[in-house]
Amino acid sequence: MDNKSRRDFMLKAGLGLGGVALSGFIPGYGFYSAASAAELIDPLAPKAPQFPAKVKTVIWLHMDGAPSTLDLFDYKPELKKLAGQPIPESFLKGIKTSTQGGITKLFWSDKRQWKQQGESGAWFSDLVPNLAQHADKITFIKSSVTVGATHDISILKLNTGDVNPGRPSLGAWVNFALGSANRDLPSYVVLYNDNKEPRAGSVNWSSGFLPAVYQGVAFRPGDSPILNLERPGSLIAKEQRNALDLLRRLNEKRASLYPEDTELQARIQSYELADRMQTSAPEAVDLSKESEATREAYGLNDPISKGYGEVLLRARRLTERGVRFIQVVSGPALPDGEFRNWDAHNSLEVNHGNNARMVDKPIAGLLADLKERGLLDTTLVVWASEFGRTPWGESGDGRDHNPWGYTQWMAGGGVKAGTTFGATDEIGVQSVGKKVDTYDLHATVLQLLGLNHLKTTFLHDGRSERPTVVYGEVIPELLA
Amino acid sequence: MNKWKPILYFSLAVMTGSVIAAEVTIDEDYMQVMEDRQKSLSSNIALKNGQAAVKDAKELDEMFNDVEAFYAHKANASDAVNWTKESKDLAVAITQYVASNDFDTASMKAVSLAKTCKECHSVYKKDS
Repeated sequence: MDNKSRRDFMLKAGLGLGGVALSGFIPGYGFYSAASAAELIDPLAPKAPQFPAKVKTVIWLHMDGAPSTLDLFDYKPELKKLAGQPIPESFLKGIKTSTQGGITKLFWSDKRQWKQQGESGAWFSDLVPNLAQHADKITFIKSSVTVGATHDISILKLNTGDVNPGRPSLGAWVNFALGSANRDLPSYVVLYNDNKEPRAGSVNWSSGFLPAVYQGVAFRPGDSPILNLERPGSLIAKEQRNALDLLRRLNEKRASLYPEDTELQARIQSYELADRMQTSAPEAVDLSKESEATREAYGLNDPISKGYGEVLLRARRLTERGVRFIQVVSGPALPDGEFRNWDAHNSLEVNHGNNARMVDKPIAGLLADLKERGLLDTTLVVWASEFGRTPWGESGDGRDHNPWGYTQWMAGGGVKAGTTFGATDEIGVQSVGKKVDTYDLHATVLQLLGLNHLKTTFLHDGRSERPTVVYGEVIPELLA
Repeated sequence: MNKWKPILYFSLAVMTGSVIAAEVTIDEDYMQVMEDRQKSLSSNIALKNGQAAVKDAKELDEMFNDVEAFYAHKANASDAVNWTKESKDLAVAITQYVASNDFDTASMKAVSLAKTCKECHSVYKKDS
């Protein structure tokens, strides 16, 4: 047991809550003037949405490394026809193509098989055969655009709406606006299937300028989701309870002398939350009681999809327990393999073969499981990536970054299932017609949670800030 | 002669103004100022601070005049001129919505304004 880590956790939890209370005394702090002292000492108290919500939970599936949706969902027969030829100039009009690999000849994999699926007739490649069975649950957004930069910068934009660190992530805004539906668990959890945290880092689940209490809590894979959260072996539960009770009594005695000191009251609560989480967090991620059929459905019996499948099964368990926002970052298909993520600058066949196999069955299993348990109507599953990939090849058999046109999708409550919004041009270079930027995706997700992105605000440095910065439009065509 | 004086002064002022506008360099610093003004506008609309929002919108409108003049002198930049004109119209519309206390519509117009800027940047903003 590493005491430093445990102290860090307790301190961070304490500072998170304490920080909120403290902020109440700082001029310009968001809701100080409007909030009651009770809200200040309990910043995670459940808050009503601004209008009736369609969903209670968001499962945000970030495909790290940026998959080529041209090889998964966006079928381009014209690209097949033009493969091996230079890209016609007309397709490049209006975009700056300073991608690292330069513009080479158009690339198409002859191994790829495509088929229309379900009543919607949506196209799926043979890389995602299980997901294809859920075609009619999915709402495709085929005109996604973003700022094309490095992975880290575009990932930051995907999660926070800005290319510079410092803004809250979408999950933090949701946490801030709606509070917690389960006081025994963090209401914003980050999951990943790797032996280390995702490469772009915790800035992607940061609370930014919002109080620290709203940041995401990263759950490690394995039985102990929060590092060293468990009690030291030398301390039995009753001893810890006694110690916490004593601490609470002393703190309350002090607090009674200073009823306006919400910081101390917040700290008292944070100790209790940490105590409750010691039992609730491991239970929430314990898969031992899941049936063999469920394990199979999530791909736990395949070494390639096992890690990601476990993570998604945990996501379902957290959904059942009322966690508001679950951010899932895809890790490597093979822990010691060559490809750490979907970033196929070369060997796309092998890379996407592994990565698609890693996520295909688990995501299909998640959609089916949520549906079967009656949770899909109140849960929003979002497939998102920092950008897409180019129709031209790189290194012979890879694809470069494409921020001008790629596919993301949503499934679950409140969305127009079995439909496609937007499109890319005939070969998949850029979006045509109405484009959907990350801000628009965020605005639409918030809308489904019963939040108007324009009115979800926080006063920071004298300015009213919102999740979508100065942008963002709800895409009504995506909504049922 | 006296009765022509105001017209003469006005004409001189307009001419001088347009020359100054044409000479304004639309560089990164200038755009930073505009971006900040835009953020201030969104914030003031959200806070329903009508007076400050109108001030921001008017300042933006003036800056868009400079941007329009800058691109009008460039070859093959008619799309930038059009985006600027669109932005100016939106700035004026925002002023009117704020004046009539319709902050919701003003807020949506401010989003449209930001999107218009972004479209122009996608073509004309230099990569740093």
